[in-house]
Amino acid sequence: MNDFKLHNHPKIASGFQTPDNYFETLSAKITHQIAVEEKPVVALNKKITTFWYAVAAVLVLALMVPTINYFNNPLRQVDEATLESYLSYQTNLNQYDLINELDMQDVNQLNKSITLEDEAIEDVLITNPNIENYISE
Amino acid sequence: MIDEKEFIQQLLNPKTQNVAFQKLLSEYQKPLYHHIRNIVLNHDDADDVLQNTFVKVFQYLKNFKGESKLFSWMYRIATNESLTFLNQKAKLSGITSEELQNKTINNLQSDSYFDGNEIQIKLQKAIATLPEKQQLVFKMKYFEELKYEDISEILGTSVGALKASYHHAVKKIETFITSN
Repeated sequence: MNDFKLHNHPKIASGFQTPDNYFETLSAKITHQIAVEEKPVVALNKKITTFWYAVAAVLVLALMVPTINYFNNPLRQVDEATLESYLSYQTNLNQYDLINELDMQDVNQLNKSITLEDEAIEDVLITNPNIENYISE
Repeated sequence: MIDEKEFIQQLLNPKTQNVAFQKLLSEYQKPLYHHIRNIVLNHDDADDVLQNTFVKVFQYLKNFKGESKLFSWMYRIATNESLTFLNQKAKLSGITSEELQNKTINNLQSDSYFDGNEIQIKLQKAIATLPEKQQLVFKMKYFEELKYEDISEILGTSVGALKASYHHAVKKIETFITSN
């Protein structure tokens, strides 16, 4: 078999053809496509991303409201009933600890604010089994 | 065609842009189509790539710095678009670019827009055995009959390297056709 020599052989065409009138209509197709591409289109995934950013921003703001309220009102007073309940049930404080925490001014204040009737004092003295302790102190 | 710099100015000027672009289309649609078709082989694919190429040319004209000729800049876009298209198509089909090319060549005989005989199909099969760059050089020189200087500007390769590449391509093709 003879060796094939490309440049000794008649020119081999690619053999590729186009549909009839292809180039006549191509220009209009390309011009149309350019016009379509020029319209600003927001991609769907970009829309979705924007939505989730908005949701995240709303959540952050919502969570910030109680925090801001707390820091803007640092001197909130605890009501007396809550404090009393806490001291009674949630701590190890006993009556001796409380007595130690009171100074003379507090005692005077208590004397002024508590008005006890004789009958009530008698009841306490009768029902309290440690009456000797109070008397000796 | 008028002076290239002046033509580019017409393409960039909104008042003259449409007329100038139509001129560009009529001048380059055929050579660019054949350049793309030689790479992607199939008419429908070539049509898609050609349209994308012209859309990109239009979009990026404002970035064209005139460092190369408009002609070679457009060929460069067309080449890149064609190669990117083939890689994406191969990836979508789950095969390599080489397998895709062989598959397309095997389907050429049933392609209604291919009118070739046995030697033409054998030549396509021989080209498919070459490395990608050598294929490009061979097709641009043999089928499109571009000058080495123009191919050099399009592919960014020296004229000497292109001549060597074409020479090797021809030798491999001759060996393939002789033995097949």
